[in-house]
Amino acid sequence: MLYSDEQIERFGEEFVQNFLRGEIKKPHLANEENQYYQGAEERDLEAVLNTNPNSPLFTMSFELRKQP
Amino acid sequence: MILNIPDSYQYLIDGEYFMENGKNLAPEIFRTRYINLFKMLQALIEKAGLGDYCTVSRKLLQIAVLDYFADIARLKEFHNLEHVQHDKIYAYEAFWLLRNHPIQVDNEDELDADTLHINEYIVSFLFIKLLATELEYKFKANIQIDKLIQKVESSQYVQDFRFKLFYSFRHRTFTAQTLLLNAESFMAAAQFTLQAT
Repeated sequence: MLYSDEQIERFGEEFVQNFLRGEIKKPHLANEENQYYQGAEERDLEAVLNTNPNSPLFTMSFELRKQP
Repeated sequence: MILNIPDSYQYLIDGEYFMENGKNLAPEIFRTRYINLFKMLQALIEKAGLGDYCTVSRKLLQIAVLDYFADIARLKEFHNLEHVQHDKIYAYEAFWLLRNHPIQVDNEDELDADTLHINEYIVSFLFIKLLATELEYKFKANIQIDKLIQKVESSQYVQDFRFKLFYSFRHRTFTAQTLLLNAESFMAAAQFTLQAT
């Protein structure tokens, strides 16, 4: 669908009026931002406390290897 | 120009950065994070067999937590955010833990020189562990993968990644932002792999 010049002019005016009324909000990512306050903190604590002390990732040597 | 630099962290409460439904949650949020980080660090020290040689400093951890929330408050104000993404939480937390070194060695004569870098060692693991936990949470509804965290911890690629983190924490310049990019890169690679399988 193509808009006419008049429609586009009107859209422009609507945009400016919305902006001046403060109705254009900075978009927030609609992701999982709220979850850390809804159980993730407990989840993370439990995961770390349940760390297997024998897992290969955890038992890494302190000794440094040469970086290529 | 004279900058008005606060001399305490009180502004984090007065500034109302952590308001929700008209209630200032800062004290509760700070308390919970402090307690949880304390428990995490201490558990990992113990599991590493270093419980008799290291202590979590109460005061250094307090500073680390408040430095972290001061950084988050700046981000929330600047970007007008209500909450912060998990990757950012883990990256900024790791950064401020590494800046403040809350794990203190009690008796260095009983440990070899490499082991003295205990903060870098523990935080390099914690950083990956939290990302893996988040990864599992994100994917468990969509993909049937048993014991994802165990698989992540057994992966040679992830072990190499931890080693590179450990090395970088000791010898390279890093910021909270570069750690965030690390976290995002890790998650992108892991999610791509999970989707492709």
